[in-house]
Amino acid sequence: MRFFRLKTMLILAVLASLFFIRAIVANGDQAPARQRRGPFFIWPALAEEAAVEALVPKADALAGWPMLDEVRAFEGEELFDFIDGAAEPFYTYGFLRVATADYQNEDGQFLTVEIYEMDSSANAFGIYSFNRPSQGEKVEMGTRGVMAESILYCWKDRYYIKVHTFPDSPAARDAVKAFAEIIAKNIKEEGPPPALLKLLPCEGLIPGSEKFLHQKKILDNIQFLSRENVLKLSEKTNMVLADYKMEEGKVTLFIVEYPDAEECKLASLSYAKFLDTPAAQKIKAAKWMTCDAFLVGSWGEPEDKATQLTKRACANIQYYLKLKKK
Amino acid sequence: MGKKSSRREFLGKSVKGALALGASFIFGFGKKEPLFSEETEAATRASPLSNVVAVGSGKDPGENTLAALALLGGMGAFVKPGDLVVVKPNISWDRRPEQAATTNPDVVAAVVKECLKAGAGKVRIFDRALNDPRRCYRNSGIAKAAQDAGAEVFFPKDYDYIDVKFPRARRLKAWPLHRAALEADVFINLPIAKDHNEAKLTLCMKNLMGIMGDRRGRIHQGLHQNLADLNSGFKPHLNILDANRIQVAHGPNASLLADVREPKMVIAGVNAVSVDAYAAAHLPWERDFGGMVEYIQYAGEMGLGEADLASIEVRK
Repeated sequence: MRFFRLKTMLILAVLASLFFIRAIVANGDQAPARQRRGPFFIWPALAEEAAVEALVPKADALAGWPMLDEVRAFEGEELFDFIDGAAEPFYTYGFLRVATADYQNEDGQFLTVEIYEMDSSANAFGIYSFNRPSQGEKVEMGTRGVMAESILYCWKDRYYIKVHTFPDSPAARDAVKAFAEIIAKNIKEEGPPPALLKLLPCEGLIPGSEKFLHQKKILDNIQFLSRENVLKLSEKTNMVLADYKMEEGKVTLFIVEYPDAEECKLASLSYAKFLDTPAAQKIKAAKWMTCDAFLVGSWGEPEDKATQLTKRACANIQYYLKLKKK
Repeated sequence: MGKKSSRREFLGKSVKGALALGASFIFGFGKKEPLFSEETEAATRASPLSNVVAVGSGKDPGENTLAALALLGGMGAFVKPGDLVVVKPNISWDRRPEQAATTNPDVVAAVVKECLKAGAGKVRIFDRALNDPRRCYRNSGIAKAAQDAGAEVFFPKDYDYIDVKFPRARRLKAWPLHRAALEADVFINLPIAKDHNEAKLTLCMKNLMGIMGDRRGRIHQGLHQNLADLNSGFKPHLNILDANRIQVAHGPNASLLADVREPKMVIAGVNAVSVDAYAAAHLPWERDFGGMVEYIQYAGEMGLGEADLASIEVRK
């Protein structure tokens, strides 16, 4: 009898250890949470699911702004149920899950928190850069972001955050910032921005104009080139764009990183064909260059300055490649 | 969350469910035939207004609505005494009117009043909201404006959708549509014009997504053709596009006033394709979307309406 008890306890201990080891492994790797689901791995998967909800400020987090109802979460295709057509761009940035909650003060003003979990900090920056307005008050309070009117857009680690209030008032705007600060404190890691941003030349760069993306449908919203995918963008490509202030005019510089030099070459041939079209002339597409797996180009005027900018970006890439080899 | 239902609650829910199921059965839940589109389409094609677009412009959104309607012969040309009229504005978002994410409440009120003036027996208003429906209806100002004007405002229920086939569709062959839209004597499509990051623009044709049931997210794969297909299966009697204020960036759910422009127009017509083609070409959009919006182009190719601007008669 005693032997059987001991045996049962031993089996239970082994099983518990297996689950514990699996939990550590699952939380340590970089695979998206959705791919980790499975009946055997219920515990770590649930822990992951709960993570983004846990970042939402609690019901009593800010005095005078109690939570209405409860925290809601949407994942995968459910995002369409939350923001309909606005959901599509999120999928190009590795969307995993969103948690949202509403708060209301005594004056009847509403405040909404939305925390989107993406598969990497680079993609959190990407969706932030896509959604943020071009102008607004810079916000640095543990998050990196911008506040425009009564809406605060920011990102930290793998999370893109939007906090907004209605109707607008100075007090409600202060509450928006306070909620963003609470969320930022709840997120422990900083998370690096996309590495490609470092390749952009600094001189003349208009702060806040940097955008990071992967796919054509996002570029179409920023700068429509053609119905054809002339830059051969895909989920495997990384692209940054930024605006540069010139003495006369403005230039947009772009860098696309392809999986390898061969794909970059194919894209450059396609882009070269596009440059002969009226659409390219309309946006004043300037000279482009390739450097290993990177394609660099620009749009805007004056052309000579745009070409200089392209060359400077290429020099940055070459330096980066040298460092990488070392 | 996690609260256990009491026996009374359970019984209550069961009875409600049984009643809903019974009602669905009696009234034809699961019907697969189009209830609405063929006769409407025939009437639309025969209409001398089939390729006419009317534009009312000026400072007052309500006046612009009346002006556009007058150019089409007035609401009496569409609504007959005793008709059940269903109006479908855009009430999808929890935004205030100035943010131009939802149809202007003054336009909604003007349409309701004109319907009742023409003798409508009842005017009903609904949309399938994306944010909390109570807040969307209230903060958009639409519920109050519509009720004050004499309309009945309601929230669509999940069990009130009927499967409808789209025989002319190329891709989206069927979808559940809301019973109220299908059973109306007159259906008035009342969207607001906006930028849309996937569809490029959301105008009349896209606004019909608000009568769709089920998981609408699924239609985003191949969205442009799906929108054309939806419009091949369901045709409003009248389309009134609110372009008094429009979002020109970060749509469809932009919140910033910086993204709003004021063309101060209402564009109306019996054919959604023509109204959309005109709006795509003539409203002050600020981003380049590469010429014709695909879903309008596809609808034109499918013969759903006149998309060629040269063939559209514009009345101002």
